[in-house]
Amino acid sequence: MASAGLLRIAARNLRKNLRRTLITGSAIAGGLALLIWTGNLQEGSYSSLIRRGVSTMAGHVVVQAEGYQAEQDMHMLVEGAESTEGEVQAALSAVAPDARVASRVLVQGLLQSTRNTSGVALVGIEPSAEATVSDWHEKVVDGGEWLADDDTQGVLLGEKLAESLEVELGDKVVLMAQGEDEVVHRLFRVRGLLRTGVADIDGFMALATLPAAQAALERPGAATMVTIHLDDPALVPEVRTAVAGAMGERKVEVLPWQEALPEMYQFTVLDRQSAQAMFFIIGVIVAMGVLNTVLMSVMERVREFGVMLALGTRPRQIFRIILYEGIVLGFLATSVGLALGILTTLPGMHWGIDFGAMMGDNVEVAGVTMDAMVYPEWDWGGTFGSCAIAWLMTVLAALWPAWHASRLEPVQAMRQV
Amino acid sequence: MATQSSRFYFSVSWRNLWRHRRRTLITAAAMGLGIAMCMASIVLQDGMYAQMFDVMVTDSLGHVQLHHPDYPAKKRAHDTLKDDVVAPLEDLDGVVEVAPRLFSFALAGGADKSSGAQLVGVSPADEAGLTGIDDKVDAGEWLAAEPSLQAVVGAELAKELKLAVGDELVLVGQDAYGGVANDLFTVVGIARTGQTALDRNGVWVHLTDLQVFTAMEGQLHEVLVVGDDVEGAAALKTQVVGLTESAGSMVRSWDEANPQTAQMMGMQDASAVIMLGIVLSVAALGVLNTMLMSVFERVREFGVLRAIGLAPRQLMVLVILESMLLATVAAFFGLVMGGALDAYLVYVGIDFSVDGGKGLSYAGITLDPIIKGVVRPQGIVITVVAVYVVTLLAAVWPAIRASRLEPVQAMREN
Amino acid sequence: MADSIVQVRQLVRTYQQGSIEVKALRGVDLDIGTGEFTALMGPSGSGKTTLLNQIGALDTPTSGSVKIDGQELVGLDKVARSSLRLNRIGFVFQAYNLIPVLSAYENAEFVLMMRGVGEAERRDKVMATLAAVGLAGMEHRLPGELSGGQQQRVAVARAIVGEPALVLADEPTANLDSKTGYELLDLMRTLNEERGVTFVFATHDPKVMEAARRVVTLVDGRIAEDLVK
Repeated sequence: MASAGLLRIAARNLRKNLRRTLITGSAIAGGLALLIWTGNLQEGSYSSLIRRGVSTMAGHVVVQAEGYQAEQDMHMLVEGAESTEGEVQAALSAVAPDARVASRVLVQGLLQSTRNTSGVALVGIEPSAEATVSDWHEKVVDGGEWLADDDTQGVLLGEKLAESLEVELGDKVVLMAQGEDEVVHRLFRVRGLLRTGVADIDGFMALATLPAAQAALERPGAATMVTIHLDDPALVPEVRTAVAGAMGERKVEVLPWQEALPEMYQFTVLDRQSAQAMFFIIGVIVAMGVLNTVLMSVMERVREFGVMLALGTRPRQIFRIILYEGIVLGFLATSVGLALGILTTLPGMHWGIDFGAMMGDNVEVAGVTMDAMVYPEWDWGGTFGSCAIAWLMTVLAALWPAWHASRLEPVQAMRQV
Repeated sequence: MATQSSRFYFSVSWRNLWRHRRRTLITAAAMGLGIAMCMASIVLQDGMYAQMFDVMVTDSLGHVQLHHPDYPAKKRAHDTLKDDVVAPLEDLDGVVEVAPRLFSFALAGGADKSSGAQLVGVSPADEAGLTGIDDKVDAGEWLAAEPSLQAVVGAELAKELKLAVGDELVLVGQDAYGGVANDLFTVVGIARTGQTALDRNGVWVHLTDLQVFTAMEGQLHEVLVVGDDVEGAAALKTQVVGLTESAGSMVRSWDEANPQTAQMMGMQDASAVIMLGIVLSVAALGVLNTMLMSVFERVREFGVLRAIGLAPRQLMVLVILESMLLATVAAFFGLVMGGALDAYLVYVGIDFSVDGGKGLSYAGITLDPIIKGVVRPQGIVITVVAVYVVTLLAAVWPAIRASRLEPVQAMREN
Repeated sequence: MADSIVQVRQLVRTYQQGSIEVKALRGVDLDIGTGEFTALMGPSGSGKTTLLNQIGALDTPTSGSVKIDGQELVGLDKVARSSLRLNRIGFVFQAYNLIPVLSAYENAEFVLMMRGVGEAERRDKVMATLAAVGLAGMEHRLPGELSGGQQQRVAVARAIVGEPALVLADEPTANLDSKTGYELLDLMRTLNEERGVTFVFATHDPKVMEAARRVVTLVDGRIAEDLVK
């Protein structure tokens, strides 16, 4: 009907000034593709950061002693780790049957060899449970072995730590730590070395079995944290509620990873916000370009619009023609931009993008070590959000020229030179 | 003749820009917005980098470092230097400060709690001179010049052990012979250096006190040497090498000791260029459209100019000139808007605090929670150059089109 | 008169041009009957185009009355006037009549489409009308592919395809060479005589005055002469 006629005029106009349409469309598509690519890159880097942080330092959901998060006092422990684990498993069976649970004890102390002393962060773990939750077991250097569950004397040392203590496989080291009442000395034997490539870990971390670490703190059966790992991070709120419920009145805090690793979480939030601010401005820049182009195109057709108005076309219909141009241009350009954004993300997903030059190989960001190799991941929410905004801004940019065109007086318009 | 015609070109191009005031203004404003955004981003990023480099290079790496040849790789306690290497260095030309350090580990304990700590034995005056750590002592004061079993504790460690100025600090460790090292120190100050690891675990004590504690009298692990400025580090290194050759120590400039930091510094300008390139290119498509429009509207006019004798190349110049003038208008908008943003960032800054008021930590440095921008002349120069380069690239196609017009054909155009 | 299609009474049109007040029409009385082929003549500034615009509901009088087919234009709002133009009046302008991106067929059907006429009916009427103006076979051409004279014919086709009460033509021959101008006039005369289409021209082209059966001469905003041949 009349709408079809208006749409036809709009579409034909876009085609008539093809070069101009293509250039403007390229700006929109290019800007959108950039936003999508960057968004996917960010998603990949946050994802990797979070995975690392969650697996090595906390969990998707952690159970800690009440107040531990604020105080970080290594003597604030969850009593009865084993039974707690059991209760947690029970709560999880309903909500997230695939979740994995492990307990850990953190001891800050000194490690001594015959030749040297070094500060150490000793983590007491349940070796087989831990292996389902983190990837420490893959970082054992050749010749060494992952710990056995019942090995209360074994310890794995970071490679650099071993070097600085001048010890090798089979050597003895002594852990010195502040126990409940007195300074505790505990003997260990080196079962293997760990190489993660992260200076802080290789230089200061050691792994032992849970009972050994508990003994060092003189707190048998206790744990610093009971961690829960999920395949699907989206389940975190549900899991948290379920586990908190299971804990009942006990003096523990059940935290989602966002609260257990607040610095890391808030870093991703801040980073995303800064990116959004930049995206918005790029959107405005593109919209201004569209505005200019549509305005120019309207100016050129003033006489034509005058004739149409004279013939009895309503001002609102003239408005619609320009609006349709914006909608069609927006739709086409957004589609191209979407395709482009997806296509350019693919190579990165396959080969990864190396930020080593800019950041060094393993940089600590917000308390977590980030891999310099970033693999983009799909951020469909962000992608389609960007598409919607690109289309919307194109249409908005066409509004003013459309309004201007609809206000023309036929006689004056036709007289324009 | 030359000045006459360049005045002609300028005035024709300038006037033509303003024939279509709204179009020119929108194009210039769009690009100006891009410029302003990049300027703000660059200034903010430079602010972060400045903090990082300040802490990293000056505080932690110095300009030139000396170690026992095996120490950097393995950090074994007994790979030491003799402390008589310090005095001759102080006499060297161009040396501003020499700070010796000895490291060890111990269990540090307050009244009820203890935790592993990194001990740093320093010469108080030299350390303060080199790193300005005396300004970073939040509570209490920096160490006294004479060894008197005083300790300054890192802020996070003090919080964990619940230590206040005046409290006693028990240090229990191992000495060079494998025996127990045990002593009581007094906390005289609590420091926040910005180096994440030290703020969490560090305890500074007098060098001599630590040497006694660890039974390592006369020994050092590290000597940092600082000259007038970072750029002179290589020259300084040569001098130091000359002096200490016979002592058999390993001498490195800061970028040799920590190449990653040097790399990051180099990336500052590169990342600015990349961002500018991308953002301005998006805006430049608008410029391309505007210039093409401008050329096509004036086909007849150009035809007349060609007919009266202007060469094709001169038409190109006209178009390019117009685009450069457009870039200038855009740069003006951009610098004004960007300048205002920059001023805000430099004086007020942006709050990037996390986790209850702490700053972000990156690469071992904890930044201030409020990041303030730093304006580097290079940043502004790169931005302005980028604007002109991008605009020039956008003007190439329209300029070539203009130059290809044939006079008769063009004048017939309607 | 009984079958007056246009009735103008005491039409005054004054407007501001900067600080000067321009009296374009100073009190015009005119009747135009169905089937007339009338030219409004006069030098520049005589008010002929202004009068045409008033009759065409493109402009409103300062005072006086204009009736088209019994419908009073004064007091109608913009939307109503727009409607009137769409349904009752056909226009042929001096230049830039056609929408450049639409073909001859699509230009001609424009008014019918705006009125909501169905596709089949449009097709029949447009094809027939294009044939009547001598453009059979050129339906798909864009204005850029048509000569000046052919473009004007498409404009005429568009003007009459909706069977308006009258067709107003503002200097339709001004941009054409004399041969083409004569051909266009011939076409319009034929349409007037064979189909009874009422034509009113604003012109200073002597060819049009020759072809017209009635010439109304305006001087300084008033009718000076009204000659029926």
